[in-house]
Amino acid sequence: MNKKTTVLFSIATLFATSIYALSGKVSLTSHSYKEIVVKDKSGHQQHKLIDTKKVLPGDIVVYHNVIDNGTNKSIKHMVINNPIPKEMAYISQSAKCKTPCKILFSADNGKHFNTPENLTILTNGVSHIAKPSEYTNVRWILNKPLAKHKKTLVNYKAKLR
Amino acid sequence: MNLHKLLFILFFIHISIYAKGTTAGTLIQNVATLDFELDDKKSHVQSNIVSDVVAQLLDLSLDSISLSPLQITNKNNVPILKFKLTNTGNGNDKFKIEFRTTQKSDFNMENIQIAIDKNYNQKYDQNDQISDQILLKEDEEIVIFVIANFSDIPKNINHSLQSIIELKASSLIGGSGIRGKIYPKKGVGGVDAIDGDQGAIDTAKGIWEYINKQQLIITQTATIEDPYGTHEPIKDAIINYDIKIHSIANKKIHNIHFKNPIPKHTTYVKCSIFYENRPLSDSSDEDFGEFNTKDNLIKVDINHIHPNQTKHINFKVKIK
Repeated sequence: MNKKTTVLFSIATLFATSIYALSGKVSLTSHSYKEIVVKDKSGHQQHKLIDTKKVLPGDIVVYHNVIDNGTNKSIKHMVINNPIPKEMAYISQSAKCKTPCKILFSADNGKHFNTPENLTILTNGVSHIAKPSEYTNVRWILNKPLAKHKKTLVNYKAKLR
Repeated sequence: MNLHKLLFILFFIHISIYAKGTTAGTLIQNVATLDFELDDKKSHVQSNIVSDVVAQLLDLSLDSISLSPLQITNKNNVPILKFKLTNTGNGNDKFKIEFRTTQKSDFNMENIQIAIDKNYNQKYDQNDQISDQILLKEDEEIVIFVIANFSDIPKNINHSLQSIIELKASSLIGGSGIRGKIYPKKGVGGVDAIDGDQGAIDTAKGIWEYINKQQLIITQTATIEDPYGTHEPIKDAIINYDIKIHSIANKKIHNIHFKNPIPKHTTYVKCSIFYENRPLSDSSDEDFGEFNTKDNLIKVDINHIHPNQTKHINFKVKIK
């Protein structure tokens, strides 16, 4: 291998590594679970998540988004956007995050985001506070960087219309 | 609009609200995105696509929409019992319709037929189909007729005896009667189907009541008072009618509608209707008595008469 070939190989390797570090090692994985209510031995109701791909109208589905920082560096300024499927109705106060975050919502398919108390919607020229079932998108803005080789989770619940 | 109709309309609005649901077979897809900074460089990744398929919920609603009881009189044919069947599931479903006469019935009707209101006019006619199965789309509703003939009524039955029909509709995909029973790949498009709250079965009752008016004996007497203190049927004389309605039935008779046309050459004396010695109003909306000016008759609706009981109605007319 001559010098020129070696340099080209090195650039190609660096480029490939960079791509790998950015898009291969930082991943976002979504899961859906159906929430069911079961009674424990003492008769108390408990909520359980089951992994199923079949849902019925009225079922509550919990969507998990797992952020996996597989790189050797921390990542920061993380913003997760999740359009809510139109067949699903968001359940009030169900959006959560494992690490500190700010949660915003949209009721116009992601054009504008705001907190629930400030999220308005225009119906026939009249503005009103959007109902949770009218939300179209959830946005989580994570406050802290995610360290290398760490994972974190954001999730929300919605009911099948 | 009377209260009865209003309640039915409200009821079906209620049904239609709860009948809505995402159609079976719909694919629900969730995908999220992540924006972040690594080494001060902005980057963006997209999640996998999570797909859930909507299974078919098998559910239905069956309700009687006939007055209850529906009266069979001597002169008329047997009125048709009507029921409304709604597919409250979230996919097309075929339903089987069956009937039985309940044990509480006083008599059985033979040769009962079930027909489907194929032309959606809520009236049984020649375009309607005699059938015990119907395919309904999600949220679709249809009227079911239960038909019997007057000749099918047993002979010599007593007044106010009832035949109680229980109509049952069940999903032909499921219909186990067990909530949550799963039928793998039996739903529309091959999705799983699941029996809903009532196990994809519903029932409703319709009641026929035999009315034999001959078991009420009506007698009428009239007394006349003329302006001269005698009892001659002359101009301006007042005729006081005393009507006695006596039951010789062996059961309580319900919903008796008494009508008495005002005799020719007389005029009704205002506020003269009495029932059991209590005055009734002339207007139609204050109590159960009425002087109907259009038809020139008096009407008294009697709720019921017990066996061997007699009710008295009085009213006055003036000779022209």
